[in-house]
Amino acid sequence: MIASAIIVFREVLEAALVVAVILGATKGLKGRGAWVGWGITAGVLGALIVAAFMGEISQSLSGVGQPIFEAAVLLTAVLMLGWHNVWMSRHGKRIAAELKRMGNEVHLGHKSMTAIFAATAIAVLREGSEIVLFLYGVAANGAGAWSIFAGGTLGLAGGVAVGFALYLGIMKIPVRYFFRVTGWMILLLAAGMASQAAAFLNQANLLPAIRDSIWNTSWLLSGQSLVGNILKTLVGYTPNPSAMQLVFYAGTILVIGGLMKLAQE
Amino acid sequence: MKLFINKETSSMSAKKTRMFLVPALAAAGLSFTSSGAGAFSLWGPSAPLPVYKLDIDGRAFVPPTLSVPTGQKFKLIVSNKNAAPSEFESFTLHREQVVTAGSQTIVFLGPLQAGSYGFFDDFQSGVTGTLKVVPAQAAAKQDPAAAAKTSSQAKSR
Repeated sequence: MIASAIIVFREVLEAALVVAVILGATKGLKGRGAWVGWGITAGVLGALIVAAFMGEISQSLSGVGQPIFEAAVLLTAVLMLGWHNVWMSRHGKRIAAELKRMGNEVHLGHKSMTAIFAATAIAVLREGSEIVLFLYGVAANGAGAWSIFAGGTLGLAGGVAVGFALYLGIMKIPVRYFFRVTGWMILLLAAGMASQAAAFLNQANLLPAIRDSIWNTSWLLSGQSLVGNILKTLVGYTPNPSAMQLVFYAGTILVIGGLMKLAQE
Repeated sequence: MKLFINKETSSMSAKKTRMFLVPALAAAGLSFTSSGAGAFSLWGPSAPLPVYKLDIDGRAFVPPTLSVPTGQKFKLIVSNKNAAPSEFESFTLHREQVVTAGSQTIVFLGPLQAGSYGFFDDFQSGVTGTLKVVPAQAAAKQDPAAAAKTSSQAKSR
């Protein structure tokens, strides 16, 4: 049960951190709770579907369907987060002013909230499908329903708790810096996802690594540790990035950051 | 039209049809540029990649240690012998791939620098293995399968 709890915790944690950043970054937008809530719901449903068809996905495209799927999903999330950020750099000042003045929420179009919905759904779908597959495996190995339920619930609660703590921390950021900080958080989140996508494309033999390890900080912080895992999700920490991963990481920051500058009023 | 095809060729042709999807995808907008002649090809390089095999059997990787030469691209076929899904994962190799129950998957790897790279089954805590990447000269005289075999024997001794 403890083993299941730990694995479920790790997966939930990754999704919860992404959702916490998204929820934090959309402070002051009317209806954000509902959009993120529907994103989570869609993500859970998507996770069940993806898990059910994982066999077909991984056997497709000559056996590399899964990494291609992962890369496509990650790059979609990068687009969504980038879109949100560019759009926020246009309206952020107004929202901050509104919040400061009367604590009012600002109503903005559905289109911009769709990006929030999609990015949330994707984060939940990716980690959720792994949880479903894992728990299915635990059940197939003959674990009792109670043990699966207890382990799953414990892991879920732990992951959500850490995500919630991050959210509370984000909400404590003074309004003056708020959107600048959350903008950077979303940007680094997107860059990390892009670098992971590069690794998946390399895994599928579609993209060269150029050079496999540019540096190695495993001695300092292993990717397997809790902190390493949290940083991997939040800022794309990898102990030994490949050159291509660095190109994707820097490229994402430059492109989205550049568009944000252009979009500023 | 062939009426009698053995299992081998029929699975090959199924594979070939699927291969068409990828160039089609690439043509549809994702264009991948090659970095230097022969260093990288979109699909199926002219010389087939060396193949290494790794099983997930019960709570262990078989062989637990796999040796490959440096500077070489290769295909790792991971077979899951269990009735439950597994996930072949490694932080230092940047790999994360689900292997559903009783199936196998292809993980492309390399070229890698010399060193030890740990991997694990993300769905079974404590199930780990090591990929040893050794200088090419040391491994040059052995063919991949033999190299893998000797390393696993050395480990079990």
